[in-house]
Amino acid sequence: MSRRKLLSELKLPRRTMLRGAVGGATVALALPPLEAMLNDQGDALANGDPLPRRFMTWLFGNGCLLEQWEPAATGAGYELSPALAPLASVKDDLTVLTNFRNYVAGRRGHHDGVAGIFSCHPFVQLDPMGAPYASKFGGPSIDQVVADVIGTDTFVKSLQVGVSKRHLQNQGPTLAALSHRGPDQPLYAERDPGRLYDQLFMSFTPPDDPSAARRVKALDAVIQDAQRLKRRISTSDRGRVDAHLESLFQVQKQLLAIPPDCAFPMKPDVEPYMPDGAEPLAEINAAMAQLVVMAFSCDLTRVCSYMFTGASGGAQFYMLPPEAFPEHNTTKDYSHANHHNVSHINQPYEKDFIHRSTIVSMENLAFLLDLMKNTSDGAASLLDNSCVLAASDVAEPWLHSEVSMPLIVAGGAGGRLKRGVGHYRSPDEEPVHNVSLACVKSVLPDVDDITEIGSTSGNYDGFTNTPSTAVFEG
Amino acid sequence: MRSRRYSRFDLRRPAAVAATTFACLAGVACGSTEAPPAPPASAAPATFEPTQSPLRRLRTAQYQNAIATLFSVEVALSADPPADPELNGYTSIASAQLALNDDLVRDYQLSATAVATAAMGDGARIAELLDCNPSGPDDAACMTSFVQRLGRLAFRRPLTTEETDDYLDVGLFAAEEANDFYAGLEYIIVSLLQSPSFLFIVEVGEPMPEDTPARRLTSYETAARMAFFLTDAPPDDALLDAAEAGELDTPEGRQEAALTLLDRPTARRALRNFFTEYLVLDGLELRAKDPNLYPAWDATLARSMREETLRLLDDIIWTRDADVREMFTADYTFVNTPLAEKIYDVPAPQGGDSAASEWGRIDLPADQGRSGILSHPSVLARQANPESTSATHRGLFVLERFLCRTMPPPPEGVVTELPPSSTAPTMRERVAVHLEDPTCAGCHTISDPLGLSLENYDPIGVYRAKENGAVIDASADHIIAGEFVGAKGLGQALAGLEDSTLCLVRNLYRHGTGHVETEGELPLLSMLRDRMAEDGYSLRSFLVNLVSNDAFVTIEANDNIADYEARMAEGETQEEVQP
Repeated sequence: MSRRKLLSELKLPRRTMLRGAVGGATVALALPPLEAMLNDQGDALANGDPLPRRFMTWLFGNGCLLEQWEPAATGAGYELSPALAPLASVKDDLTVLTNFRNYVAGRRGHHDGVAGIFSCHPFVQLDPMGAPYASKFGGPSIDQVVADVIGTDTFVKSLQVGVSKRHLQNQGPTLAALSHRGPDQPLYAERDPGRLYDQLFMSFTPPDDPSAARRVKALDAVIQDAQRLKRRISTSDRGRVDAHLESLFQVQKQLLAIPPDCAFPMKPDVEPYMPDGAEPLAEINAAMAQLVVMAFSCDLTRVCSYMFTGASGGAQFYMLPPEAFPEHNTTKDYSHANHHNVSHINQPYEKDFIHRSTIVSMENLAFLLDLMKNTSDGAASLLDNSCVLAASDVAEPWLHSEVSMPLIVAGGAGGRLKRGVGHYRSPDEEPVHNVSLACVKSVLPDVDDITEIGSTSGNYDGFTNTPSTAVFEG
Repeated sequence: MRSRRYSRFDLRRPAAVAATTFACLAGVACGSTEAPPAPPASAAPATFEPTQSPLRRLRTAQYQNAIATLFSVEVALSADPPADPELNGYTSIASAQLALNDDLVRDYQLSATAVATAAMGDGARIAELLDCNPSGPDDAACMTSFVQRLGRLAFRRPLTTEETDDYLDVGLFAAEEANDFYAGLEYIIVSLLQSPSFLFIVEVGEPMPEDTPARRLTSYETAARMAFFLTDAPPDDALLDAAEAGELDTPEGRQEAALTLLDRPTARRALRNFFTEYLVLDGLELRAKDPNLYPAWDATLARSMREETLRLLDDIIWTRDADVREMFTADYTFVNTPLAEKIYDVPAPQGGDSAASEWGRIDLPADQGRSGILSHPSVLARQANPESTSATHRGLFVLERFLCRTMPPPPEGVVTELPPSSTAPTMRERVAVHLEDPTCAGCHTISDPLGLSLENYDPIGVYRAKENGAVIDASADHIIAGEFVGAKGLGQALAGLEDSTLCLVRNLYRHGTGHVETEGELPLLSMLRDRMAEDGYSLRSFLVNLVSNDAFVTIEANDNIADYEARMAEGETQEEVQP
């Protein structure tokens, strides 16, 4: 059953469809904003406004083998470690951060990390008697904090995308989503490139479509129902209805939105599973990355959370059969195993498997960053004008450790992020939260729009008002 | 195997627990020689504490059934609500806590639009809802009657005047723009189906006649709660009429309505939905098994396993209305060709083929020691690793799902690995460290013995007497379940424990109400469980008793309702009361 049916047939006036395969080697090109919109130098809009900065959070689940992740040398001249080797083409556009620590840790593995880095709030435990454990974020995720500032004028406030569908959904919102507007408002990722395409490029109502006004009017009555309902329900439920209202207003705006003057790509067609049940991670990632880059280029959105694989693992790395490990001479086949299960066997082969899976994850991050680097954005590149925070929910999965978290900050954020740092190792276990704050501030119109992030509750100390100077220029 | 007849179901039998406490509360001197009047069996236990009822979003099954009720099963095929997240084991708990967002609201808009288009294609149903001949695009009177008829079904109560006017405005606007009365109806549908009063089950209640802060569900709210609880579908016109006539305000009235609802196919499907979540039956085909060790494993087999479990439960509870404890002890099951050939090693059902759609009942093979769902591959395969079983996972599953106990996760810094098979041939030896090391034993002695009793079934549920050449020892000595051997022993042990049926009804209550039961609700569930035990452990009888009970229609007041009602009483309009 077709999922995205519109009332009227979509006509695309004045639109040039660019032929471009997604996946594989061919890269679809997005046309940059019209020349007329830029100033003479191409480094700002004609009216003096800066080119919009973009923000992305990127998650690969279940940690890594630290000894293969942490580069030996520090500073700009460092050599990429084996796990980071795939990032060679964008080495100069990123900073590797080591020995940073998650101070919102110690209650529940995986939950600690994802909440600590991506919201800086201690998560809320939902642990009633005799029922399966769940937790939810204790506050908004950092991408939503950013979206509330820079996402208010774009067609889509923020994008939530994912690649692997094998992510944990039965321990509550904390692990099920990377973006949260609040404890009760997880924003689930779209993992189907075709549906993401429809959301981004097929959701505009043509200007001459008469249904738009009627649909807006239909939503007026819905809004009135919500407002009336608020009067007699609990305070806590009022919060939920307020979230509903916020979205209703957003959807009304979208009904009246004019599509950007941008060449839309062809719709991707990627199989979600191979015949044996494996997920073609690289193909799906390529399709997703290209859609996200297109969305950024066409200014359909400026904020994105990207869950490559789910927190706590779950993804299966079919490209790592026993034959890929000749040095271990093993018949144990983890190529269809849950990454999390493998990571709790602290033996050489299994540790190597985790390390090799990290390389796969970094290959996929490299694809995205490379694409952003090769996409022009005014006089610079999309990567130059973005901040990408890539991290995992644990450092080493065997121990659910939260010290020395794997952490990468990529992009230039329009000059706000430091260049040429290379590998920075914190001398004093600086909080990861300072890095999260630094990334948030780097993309705001005015860096002082936000001065603090996160919260502290007892021993769980996520609050910070000091952006990490390791990456943040100011 | 008794068949049940409910027509003279007696609600007047007193519950022993309630009688004693009720007497004291009623002011009769405790210890008086005069026997107090026995309270009706439908009374809540005196120690019962009602809870608040937050807004509950319709789950996808409920949404689709709602569309079917408003229009038709065919129109419901075009409905496409977003997927349900889960919390604490149930999608209904998530639906009672989580809020909507841009993507979900957009999804509901698209679904409403698709449904409206399909509904307008059903001329007969539209005519039914209209019950008037429109004179033109501006026929407000005719359009109003449509709004009221459809609105009542959509919101599960009559619309107020203000509400009717709002949706009428939508319709008149669209009809005028399109110069077509029916375009107006289409947009009324689009609008109603996106409204929170449709998408959420709203329970605000009304003040009780007695002086208590607790509130009683209104008749309409009662109809909705009953219908959704028992059938995952909203009340139809007939049930709403009954509510209007006050018929659901008495236990006897609810009992009769419950019996009618339970006869519907939607009731069977609703319980299937419950068991799918309770036993974690979904998504089994996404689990991987080592293809070298278990080549038989594929998506068809995995889906067959789910269906097998649902069919057995359906047979015990609905077809036979038998003792629900047979879920632990049944000596038969249902198989299709893949299950017969790959798991049970029995002849495939007649007419069976690799397409797996033919099913037949079989007695469990005598030499495999199986028992009810405990040895169903759906349970055994899910609670196992790709290349091995897991005594801990299977044990935890039994502990959590059938005994309602939980365990904390492993402490941080603990490396969790098992010795290789060469030094420890069977799982029992490999988990020995769990049961001997003091840091592990505290928790693992509560889970692992239960799982070890199921070790005769491999990671996909095939019977095996040996592992790595060593005979499997499936004996257990468990702090709650006692001493027993194998799946049959475990089945008997669970059937003999009150905890297991109490855990089942607790889970059913969680799923049906959208929250984990509180301490204050346990007396109710214990009482109803005891009554179910007296009724031959009929789960149907439990459902009828629960719905008939006063507790079912009693809620705690939310923190704004008193103020709202006071201001309405003072003459403020709905619009004037500020949230």
